[in-house]
Amino acid sequence: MRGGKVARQTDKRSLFLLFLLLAFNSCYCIAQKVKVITQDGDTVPYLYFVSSGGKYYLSSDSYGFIDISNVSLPDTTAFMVYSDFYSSEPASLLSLRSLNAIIVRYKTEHLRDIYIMPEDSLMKLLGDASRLFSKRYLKDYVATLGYRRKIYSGEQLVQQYLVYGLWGSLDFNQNHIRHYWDDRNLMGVFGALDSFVSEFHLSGKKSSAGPNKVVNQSVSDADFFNVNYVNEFSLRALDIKRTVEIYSPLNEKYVKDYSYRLESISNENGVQIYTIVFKTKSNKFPGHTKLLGTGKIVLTEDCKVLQVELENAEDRYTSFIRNKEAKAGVLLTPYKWSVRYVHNEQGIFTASVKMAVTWNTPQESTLKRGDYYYIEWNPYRRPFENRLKTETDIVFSEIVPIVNIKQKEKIRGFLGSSFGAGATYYAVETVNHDFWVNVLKNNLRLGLIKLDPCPPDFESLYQQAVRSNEINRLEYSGNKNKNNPARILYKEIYNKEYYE
Amino acid sequence: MRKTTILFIILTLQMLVVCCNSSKDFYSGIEHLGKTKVEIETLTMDSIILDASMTSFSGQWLMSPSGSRIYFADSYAVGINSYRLNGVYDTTYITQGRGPNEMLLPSWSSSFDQNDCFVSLDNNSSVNIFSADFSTKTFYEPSPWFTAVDTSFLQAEWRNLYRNPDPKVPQMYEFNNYVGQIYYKYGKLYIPILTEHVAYNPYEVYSKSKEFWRDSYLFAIYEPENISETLKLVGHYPSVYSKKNIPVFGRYSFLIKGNEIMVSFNADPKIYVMNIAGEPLYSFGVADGLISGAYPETVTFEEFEEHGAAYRNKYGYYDKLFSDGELVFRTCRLDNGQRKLQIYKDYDLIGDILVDSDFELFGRGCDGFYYAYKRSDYINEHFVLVKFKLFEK
Repeated sequence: MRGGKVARQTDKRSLFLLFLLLAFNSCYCIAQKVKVITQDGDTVPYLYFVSSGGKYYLSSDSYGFIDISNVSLPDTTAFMVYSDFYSSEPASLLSLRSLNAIIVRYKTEHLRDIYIMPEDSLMKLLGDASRLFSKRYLKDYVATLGYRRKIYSGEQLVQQYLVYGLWGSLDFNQNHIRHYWDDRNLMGVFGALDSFVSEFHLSGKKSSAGPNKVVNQSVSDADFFNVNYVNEFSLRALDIKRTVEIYSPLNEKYVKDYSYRLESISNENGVQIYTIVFKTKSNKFPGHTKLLGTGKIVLTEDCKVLQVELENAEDRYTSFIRNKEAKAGVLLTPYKWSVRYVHNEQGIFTASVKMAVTWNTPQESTLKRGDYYYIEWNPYRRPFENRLKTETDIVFSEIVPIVNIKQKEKIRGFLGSSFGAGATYYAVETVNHDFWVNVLKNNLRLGLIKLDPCPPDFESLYQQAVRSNEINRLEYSGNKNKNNPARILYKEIYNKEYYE
Repeated sequence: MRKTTILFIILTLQMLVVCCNSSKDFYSGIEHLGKTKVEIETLTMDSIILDASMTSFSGQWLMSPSGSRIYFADSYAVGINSYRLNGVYDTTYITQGRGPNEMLLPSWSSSFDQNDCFVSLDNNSSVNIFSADFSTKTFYEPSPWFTAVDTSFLQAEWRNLYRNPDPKVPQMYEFNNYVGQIYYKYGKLYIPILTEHVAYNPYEVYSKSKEFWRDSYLFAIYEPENISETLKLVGHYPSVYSKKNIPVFGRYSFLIKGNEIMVSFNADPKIYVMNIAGEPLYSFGVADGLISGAYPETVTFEEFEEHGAAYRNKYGYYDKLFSDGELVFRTCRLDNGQRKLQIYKDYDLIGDILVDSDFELFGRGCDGFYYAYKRSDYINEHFVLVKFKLFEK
């Protein structure tokens, strides 16, 4: 009997120890989350880490955590920060597993001794800059718009499309609106004067890439990116511009939602230029500001904003708008975005907007819908396997302020509400081929940098157009109205044909 | 005591009446035909690879009326891709536009009629009818059918319908995407319909879901050239849907054979046959022992949305119909995730075969083989089809 009692006690103790062991192991397995923080203790959302060799990625989520519970790489795999704003020592996966937090440094750290500008002073400077921006940004104007979008698979250029058109920025405001599509300024009104689209050449595939757009929500999570894609004139870069103008430190109302550090002071033509890094305070998103991440503002000493840049920021104003919480998703698309402003005697206007996006699967991502964020639609299926990258460049020129209401309504009527979702390649009824020969050969008019050299086995875009009978493809628009409203308006405004 | 007894009896009678009305079976009293006479338990299938690189991978499979070509009607790109029976790509019919051989939008559901005319409902619910060689569009109605049926149905009528949902009003319904098929036979178009009115729908038990399952209609039937005068709403759900609220398994598959409509519902082993006026005639069909039918209820739209995919991956159900002469085929998903093909001949179950998980039979070729979709290979951008012969054919 006594032996039986001892045996039972031993059994109970063994069970208890087994339970503790299991609990510890499960805790250990669950708690493999590493917090990414600055030296000030702020978490850093959507910060990318890349392995040496560039093959593997990790990403902090919207809360600033990297979940490495299910990352199955060798423990010796070392990761470094992949960012314009932060840096860190390489950290192996083994060391990450033993850490609660990884501290990243601002890249301006070494300047600390030279430039001293307390955060309060920076906030005052930005407050003044945002008030000047609001006051002087042109309320209504038209401009010509040169648009180029390039799609890469790895380093190979697979498609390029260009459009030249007339763009109107009407009723500029910085008001918070519940639904961005109700914004009277939106991303502008636009009419295409001419457009050109190259064929789609993905290595090893046929030249025809199939339909422009597939959005099939009924496919499984595993097949979502195998099937779905959107390949069209992407307006995301201009969507983000609106989010920045409303929710970044460009708007006085949101200056207090960010923390600031001075990155540099330079001098151009006798004018001091400040570059200030800003980062969303975590308790301000998404309840107050709709922008989460890190960026920088470049402004003159007299508070003229010249440029705003973002890195991997989440735009909750124009994308994933149903998310009401600060949902902990990882970022599938590390990207850089920038807008440049010009100040003249008439006011402030946008000179250019650029965005460069890469598709990567962070190792910890399960690709389960709801657990990730991406800044724009992938332009072709299987973006990770196809190593897709996009570059969008938009350049504005020939600015003409609009001074009367009649003219404004005419522009709004002629140009439509936007050229955005649903727009196809075929923005115009007839294509002026001489115009595009000039553009492609001489890079005229669109303010573009030199076209990338093409690999030897890749025809120039113009050669493709001639060989593959692009004429029929480009001439089709689905609209038999030969009187292109943008061309009519352009001639009225500029007293010349768009191709002169 | 007497008063209490009388009250109890009255209340009980009332409940009985309500229950009877609630579970009134539209199909009660019809004869159930057929027996189980399984002769076919396996099939030898050959695989065929088709190039899918120019497609969206989402669309509908059709056999050409001649049986010599396999068609893929893409749901995201305008065009009908044609392949030979050996899988080699042939050509693409119908381009995008307003021309005589063009459509503005991709085809969402399509079919051939008895004269080989091709009819397509595009993803704006516009009807396009083409000649047999796709060269000429013989009919086009740009307005969705629920708009075209009555152009005097305006704001006031919509507001009234919003406040007072009525299943007899055609404007309550839209195309039932969960069913997806359409048919065009002898000048009549057969469209599956569904109402998701905010106060009358299958999802919310507080939005008259019981009435929905009892009174709402399954099909809109009309002549495209004269929809306003010919539109009829026909067909109702069987009583299995009145016992428990199971919209996750509310889908159905149907086909037209002569003057009869044959319908199979996810949650019901019977295949019901009705005339084109919607009057039930008879049923056939055998329950599979590996489909328990023990479906969990969902009582709100949120529950339906949140759990729908998981439930459809967990429970078996009766799925798509296909017919060829005296043969009727039905695919089923079993509780254990496997898929089965039932074959009926003259209402008797003669075939009971395990098949691949995405198996979808769509036609018989002129070579005597039956053709079915098997799966998509996204990495190599292929479709994989299978073909088989039945020993009797």
